[in-house]
Amino acid sequence: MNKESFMQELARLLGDISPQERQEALNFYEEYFHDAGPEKEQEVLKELGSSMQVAAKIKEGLDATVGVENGPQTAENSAAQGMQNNSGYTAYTEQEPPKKHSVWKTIGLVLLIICASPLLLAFASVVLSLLIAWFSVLISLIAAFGAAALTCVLCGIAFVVMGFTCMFSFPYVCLIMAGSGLICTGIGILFMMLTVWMCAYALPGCCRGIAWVWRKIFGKKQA
Amino acid sequence: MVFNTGAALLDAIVLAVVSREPEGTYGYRITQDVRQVLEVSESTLYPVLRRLQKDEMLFVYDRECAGRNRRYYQITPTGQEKLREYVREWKIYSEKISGIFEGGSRQ
Repeated sequence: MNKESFMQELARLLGDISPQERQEALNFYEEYFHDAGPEKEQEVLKELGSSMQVAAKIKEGLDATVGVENGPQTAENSAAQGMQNNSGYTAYTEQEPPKKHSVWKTIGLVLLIICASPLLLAFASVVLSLLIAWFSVLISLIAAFGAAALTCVLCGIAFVVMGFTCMFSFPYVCLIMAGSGLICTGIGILFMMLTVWMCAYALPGCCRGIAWVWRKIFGKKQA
Repeated sequence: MVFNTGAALLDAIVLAVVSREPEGTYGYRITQDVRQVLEVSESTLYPVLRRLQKDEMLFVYDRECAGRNRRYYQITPTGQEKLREYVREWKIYSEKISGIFEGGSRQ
């Protein structure tokens, strides 16, 4: 890069401003190089940065003269902005599209929900009936186990009592009776434990599981 | 330098630098003088000079120098008035900040 190519590039980049402004700027930098002297040419080129940066700053300066109070912008910040957008409009056009996009997205989603509502209703009723079925199974299992436990324990106790009362008349038969009564009671206690476990853990666990699934599906909307 | 330089401060410094030369001074020298006190890029000064010229703070004229024209910048009465205002404001501003830095008593 030398002075000539820098000036040519700058002239080209300033093509879209008024000829008078362009000439002013080009004269300034032409003079600047001349005053710096040929030995400092490379130094000045390095310090000025790319011709694009210089052109951006010149154009930004022209924009700023429209509104003189340009706020407390720093020189370094303006340079960075000048690099990103040549005119001040880019910032606005960049912010607009996401808004529109989200509006269309919402409308689309609503339409989709309306169109799919028969399907959604069917799906929802299937899920609901599955849930009801699952709960009925669980509750009947608990009831059955509870009943079994109760029956076993009661029968067992009855057998044991009967076994002991006739112990002296028919010792062998009665010992078998009492023994099986004890076994029966044991099984009843096991069933009772199972019932208690189901009530204490399985039922709340299922409720929590359903709640978790519900949150996963609908939680985002509520948040 | 760690502190940012606002547009107004840069304007004030450029006006002050130009006002030191009754005959006026030229772009390269203004840049060098400003760069002695402020770390600004060489490309920052032209838009500032152009703006001050448009706001009639600076007056430009061309003078022949070694067979070619050189543009000189000179401060106008409006520019001098503006510079005085800037200096006044700067005094208040810098004294307040120095007061805080040096741990002076609260008012």
